[in-house]
Amino acid sequence: MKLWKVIKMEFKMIAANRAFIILTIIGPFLILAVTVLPSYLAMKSSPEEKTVAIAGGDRELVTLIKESALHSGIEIVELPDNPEILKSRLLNEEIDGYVILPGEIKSATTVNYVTSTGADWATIEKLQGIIGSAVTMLKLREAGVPTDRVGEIMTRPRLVPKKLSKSGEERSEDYLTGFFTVLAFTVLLYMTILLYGQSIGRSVVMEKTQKTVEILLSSVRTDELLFGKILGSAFASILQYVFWIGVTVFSIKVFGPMLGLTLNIPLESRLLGYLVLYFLLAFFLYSSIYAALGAASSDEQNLGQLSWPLIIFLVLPMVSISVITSNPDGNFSVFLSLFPLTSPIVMFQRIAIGNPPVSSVLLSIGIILVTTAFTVVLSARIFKVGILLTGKRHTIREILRWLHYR
Amino acid sequence: MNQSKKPVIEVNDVYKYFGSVKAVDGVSFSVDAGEIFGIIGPNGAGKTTLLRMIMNIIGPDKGRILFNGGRLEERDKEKIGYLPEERGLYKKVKVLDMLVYLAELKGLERQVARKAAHLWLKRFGLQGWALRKVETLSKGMAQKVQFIASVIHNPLLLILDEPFAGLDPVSTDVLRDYIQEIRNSGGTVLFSTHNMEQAEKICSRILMVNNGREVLKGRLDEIKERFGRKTVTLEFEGSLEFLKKSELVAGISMYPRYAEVELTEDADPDLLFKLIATNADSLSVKRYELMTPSLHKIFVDQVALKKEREGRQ
Repeated sequence: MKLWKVIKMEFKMIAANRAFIILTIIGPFLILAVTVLPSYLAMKSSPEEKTVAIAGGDRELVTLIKESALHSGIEIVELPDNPEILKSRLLNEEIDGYVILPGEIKSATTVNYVTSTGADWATIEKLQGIIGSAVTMLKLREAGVPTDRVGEIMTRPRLVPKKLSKSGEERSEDYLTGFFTVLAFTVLLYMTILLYGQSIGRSVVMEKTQKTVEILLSSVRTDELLFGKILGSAFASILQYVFWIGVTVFSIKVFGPMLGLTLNIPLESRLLGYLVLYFLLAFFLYSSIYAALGAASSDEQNLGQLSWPLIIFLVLPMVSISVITSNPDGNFSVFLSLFPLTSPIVMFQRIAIGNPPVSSVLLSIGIILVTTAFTVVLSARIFKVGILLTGKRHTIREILRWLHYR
Repeated sequence: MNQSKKPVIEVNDVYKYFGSVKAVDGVSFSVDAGEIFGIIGPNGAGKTTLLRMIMNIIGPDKGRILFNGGRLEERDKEKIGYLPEERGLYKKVKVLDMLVYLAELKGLERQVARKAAHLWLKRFGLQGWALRKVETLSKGMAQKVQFIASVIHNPLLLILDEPFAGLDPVSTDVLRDYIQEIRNSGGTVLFSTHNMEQAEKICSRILMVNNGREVLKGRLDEIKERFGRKTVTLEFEGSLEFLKKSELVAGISMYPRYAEVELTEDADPDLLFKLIATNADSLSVKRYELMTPSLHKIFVDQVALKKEREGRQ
């Protein structure tokens, strides 16, 4: 079968390419860098203890602040209420910041925290809690609440987020973990679709620039050549993809515990299944479009110019990630998860962060499949005419006219 | 290769338009088994489009193309060898692998293809290059490999689109010798060229096309007999101005030291010789040769004639 021979040749040419081999080997390291490194670094680097100076305020309040700050990661030191001393200590880096407590603290609505480097939100949050509790305790005491009861009154429950899965299982998962999971996989999908799509586009342009196309078409049909190239490239890409995911999962499972790191990203088989499914759907959709663009281009530079509108649809799910993860069932997310060019990535994002209805998932798959069938037919027509036209750039209008040629 | 005199290819009133461009506009001709047939015309005349339709790479808008008496089918591609004008090979693939791949696409078994590839490479003195990548070949070598790819499956018909374009003189001779060899062994060759000199040396029959339309077709010797006026070639020093006024002369293509003088229909070449002799004072003649007209001349005349007729209509 001639199609099979074209597939084999295409696969051989891609797999024997040095850049492909190098990328296959270093790929898992890139994936690990994107997925594991952030959690590894976050885990290894315990937050640094900050030293904050307190000036002014009465003795009772300062004592309460010091008590509240115990085990919080912030060390409170007392300094005289002299701006010159405070400033020089701060600029000499003896303290990380200082707070001058106003005389009428109980009625104050704001308190200034001065730093030399700009305050990080974690320290601000903690300091706000510490000073806030101390002031509230002071007020309670003054209102006549017995000192031994103040602590009890001040205790409040902590909110713990849990995620209910379809199977009814509840699991602790904070928003950030989910966000990073989606981000990591979105980057992976984006990178691979772009990489493989462009590789097919380039491979088609190469047939024109290396002038092999007409020799091949004297033996095979245009659609055999088109599908042979897409499928040959698909085999090489899927092999690389499976290798990457396999090595990455293996490394995390085997070497992760050895290094004493636990992964924040939940690598469930269900999610990996959807990842591969949506990767394949996106692969064939984008491959057929890139093949048509390749056939319509005169060289690689021209291909780059023609394909930028396509990249917008790949980038859109990346830039909308916070909107989609914070509201996976909102109108915007639902629209993008059904629009064929953004659907593979966005529907995967919705599945990873939330629980979209099965009907939506099936609908997105259906829409992508129908669109792919449609683009394959259009691409085959553009390919048939464009592949034989070398050495000249074509306008979009000309390319659309090709669709009517026999 | 087939030796009988029945048509291998029959093109019947074929049309192909690309938008408003009439690439092929009602062309008919046939190529008999065992002949070398040339499609001749300037660049953009529609030669490549015709060959692509015969190769079934693109379909005609109207008209029929028959191969060996039957409608041209996809599987007929295996019986035809094709060397397109725009030809190249995958740079990163080994020469042997490239040839085997192309031969397999022509329906050869892998082992047969390998054997044939080795034989052909040896024949062209490229046996040492079989396992090297295509990108290491010189331009001349690559052209030989491309030619091998078009004949490796021993086709019934060989189609060559501008085969001499871009070839150096040595490669041109090698290719011409090989086309001659195919004719001697009874093979059929259909080729296109804008180089009329090459066509004159090789073809038995020709089709002349211009702007997608037929200009002339038939046996080369008959065409020359029918359409050609006698031409005298002169190599000289001095001035030939006096010839322009002579009644014997229909036209002159003049170069500084060379001229092609076309005689009027009934003119006697001897009279021209005498006329030149009487002007020997202002002229020194190095060569005087009575020629049959070149295809190029016939082509230019016929195109001009057609234009004139169309203008009148």
